[in-house]
Amino acid sequence: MNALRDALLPAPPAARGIPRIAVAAGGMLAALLMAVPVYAWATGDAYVLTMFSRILVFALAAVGLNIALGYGGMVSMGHAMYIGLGAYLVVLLQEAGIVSGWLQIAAILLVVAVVAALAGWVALRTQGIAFIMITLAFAQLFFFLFVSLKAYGGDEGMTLPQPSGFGPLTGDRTALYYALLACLGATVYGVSRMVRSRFGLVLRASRLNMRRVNAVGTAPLPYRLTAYVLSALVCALAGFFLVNLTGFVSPAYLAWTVSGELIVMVVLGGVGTVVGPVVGAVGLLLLEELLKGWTEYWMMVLGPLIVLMVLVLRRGLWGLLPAARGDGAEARE
Amino acid sequence: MSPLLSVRGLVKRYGGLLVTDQVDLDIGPGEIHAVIGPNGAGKTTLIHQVSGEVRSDAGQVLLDGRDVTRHPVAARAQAGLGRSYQITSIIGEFSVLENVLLAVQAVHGHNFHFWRPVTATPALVEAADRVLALVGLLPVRGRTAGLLSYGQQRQLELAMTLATEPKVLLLDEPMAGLGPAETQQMVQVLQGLRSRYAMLLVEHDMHAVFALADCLSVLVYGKVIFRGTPEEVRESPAVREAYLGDEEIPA
Repeated sequence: MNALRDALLPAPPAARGIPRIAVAAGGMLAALLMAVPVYAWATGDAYVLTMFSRILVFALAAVGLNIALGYGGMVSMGHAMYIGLGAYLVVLLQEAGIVSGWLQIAAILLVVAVVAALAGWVALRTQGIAFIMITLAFAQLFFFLFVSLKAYGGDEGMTLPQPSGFGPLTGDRTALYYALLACLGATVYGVSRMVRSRFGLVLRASRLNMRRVNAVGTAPLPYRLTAYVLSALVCALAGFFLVNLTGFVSPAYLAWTVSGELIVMVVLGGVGTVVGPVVGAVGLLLLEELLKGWTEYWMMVLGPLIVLMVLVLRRGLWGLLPAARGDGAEARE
Repeated sequence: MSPLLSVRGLVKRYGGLLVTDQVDLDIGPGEIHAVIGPNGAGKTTLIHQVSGEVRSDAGQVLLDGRDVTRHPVAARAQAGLGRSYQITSIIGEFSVLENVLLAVQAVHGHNFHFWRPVTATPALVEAADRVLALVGLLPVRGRTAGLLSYGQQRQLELAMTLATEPKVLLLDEPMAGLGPAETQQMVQVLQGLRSRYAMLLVEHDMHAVFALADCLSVLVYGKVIFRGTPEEVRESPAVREAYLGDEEIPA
């Protein structure tokens, strides 16, 4: 019966798999990112490695934000707070004598899950502008909390006493880079699975037609809240990597402008596409780097350029791929 | 036989305006109960109150003897009230199959499954295909829902309602905007379902109503002014006067 049905009926878009050109483009992006440390080693250019590590941190955070923003339609203007929390918790944990990286990650995920569940539970009572303002308010709350913590450097921040402990790899820049890349790859793959799962179907549907989701007998809130928490956890993980990369933490990590930049990355790369946020983060930060080297008034160029790109590329950079366009259901994979 | 759906003294006020005025309804298993009335009589509001999208100011909604008056929309749907919308409310970006799967999975436990693609879950897909076959959409199951013809979208609307395995169907103008041929097709689909569900039907198409309904309630300004079989309604002078002046009744 199944074989017969499969032979007779056209497969639904979700079962057709990812378009070949998207696989090729994604593979190329992955290969380029994997080659960065090799290039840095061959040329002795350590800055390239640091720069791309930073890009990966934000790519990871953008992929995280995209779970809430792209698939759940939750425009959070406060996701930098989870990056900041992840980063500050590393410092706090080290002061408490916990130096193992694994333990630190576990603790960060636990704490941020609780914080995000509470903040999300409040924020998800609202929609639209109100949701944006509440998420922003929570982020500002933590921003000023860390500014007021004089023991941790106040608004100037403080240096990380020592990198998170991972045995012989502790403090190794190349290991950090590849760990980041592996994390990013695993997260992207996880999101691509999640999107097509039962959970993903509810999440995507509640963005498009919340009323219908209710009418078929599914209360959307638990699913939306879960998506919000997952997205916060990914950002917190990005924060863990960020503080280990820079060896420094300050309230600037939680600034609302960082939340804004994350949204720009997601939109630029392609809202609600799995790989889009990575492309957006790489594109935006590389462009920034390029313009910085060219003129000190780089912001005056970058701003209009972003406006132009968002206007012209409605579906983001990733949406430029011919196969990724098509109809809605396919493009959202 | 005890009624499946029972509405007791339902009231809705918007400010000084009484939109639903002490409405009682009883619908038994397999019965099609149609609510007709002129525009603005409060038919859609009544459906909203029964499905839970509009809070009632007074009265009770009993489903299979259970009081669901305080239940939110999702809980009522879980309890067995399946509704369709007058304005097509499918998810245009999803495939036809995904639309129905969304409804099917709602009655197959929780949806905290993050890994396996829903379209690769045989139990769910088979249930969805059964419903799609019932409304005649199986050949287009892979199409994007937003690209279907209007008539097909109306069928998908019904399919999503059926997929939640309801006890009672709340159908808000299922023929809205359909041409004569498509209306005829929808009447046939509903005829085929009549033994399996109790239905509360709000519909403007009088041919369809009189072809389908076992019992009719005539709603005017939120009040049921007459109730009876199609023949009784057709012959009632009170109904004629209050309502049928501007719409014709098939002889």
